[in-house]
Amino acid sequence: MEKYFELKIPSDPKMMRLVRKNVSLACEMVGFSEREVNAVTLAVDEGCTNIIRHCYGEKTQGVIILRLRLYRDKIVIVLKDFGSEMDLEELERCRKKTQHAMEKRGPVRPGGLGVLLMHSVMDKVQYKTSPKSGSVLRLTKYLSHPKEVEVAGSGSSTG
Amino acid sequence: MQVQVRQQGDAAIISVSGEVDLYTSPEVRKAITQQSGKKVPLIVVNLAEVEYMDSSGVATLVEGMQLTGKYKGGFRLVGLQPSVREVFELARLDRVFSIFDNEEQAIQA
Repeated sequence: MEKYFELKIPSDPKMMRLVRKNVSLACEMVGFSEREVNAVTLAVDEGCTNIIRHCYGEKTQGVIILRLRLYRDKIVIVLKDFGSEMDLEELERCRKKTQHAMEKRGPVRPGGLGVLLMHSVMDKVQYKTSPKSGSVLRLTKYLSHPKEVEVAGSGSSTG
Repeated sequence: MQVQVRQQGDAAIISVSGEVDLYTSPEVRKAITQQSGKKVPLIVVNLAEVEYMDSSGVATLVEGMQLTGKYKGGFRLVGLQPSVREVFELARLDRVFSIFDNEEQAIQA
């Protein structure tokens, strides 16, 4: 069974609280633990932060569309923006540099840290970007313990 | 989010409450840079009332540690709630910062 909803918000850091509230409620509906709810909420926050910083250059008039798809065993969150093309190679370089810096206890860059956190807590992190239509970030998190569901005529089953 | 600063001996105690993210972290940064600009020997950031922190907040604290390190000052964190501590652990920064349970321990360490 799938539930779907979307939010259209300006690329304004003030909106992050609203985003987090909605994502955390959606995660609770799927059945994630408190720890998982916090993790997914953090990942979406980091995704939005990257869009505001890198795709809209911290301009608050951009648009971010947040789509949430709730499944029995997972949540899929899509962040769509219409800003400048995301430099995926640069993002990956940042992530590796941050990981290396942390291992060596050196200086950590904020952007790289956010990407690293997203990858740490989500099961899938997928980007699509184009110079004409902006970027799409797709984040997927599976339930570690899917809920038991009633199957008509055959008791209950998991999975 | 709220930030309050008070002096206790040689230490500046920066108490933060609420959620620290891209929108609110500049306020925390301002308080830290003001104290590090004065070369305060020890900066203690009390996070006991912080319910949420993202990478912007963490990066602000990393910067604070680097700024105080430049003049050999101390930079210590206090009272991380489990959800905030988890972010530090994910970023593997829990081993980089000096983290204490309370202000007294942080000042006396």
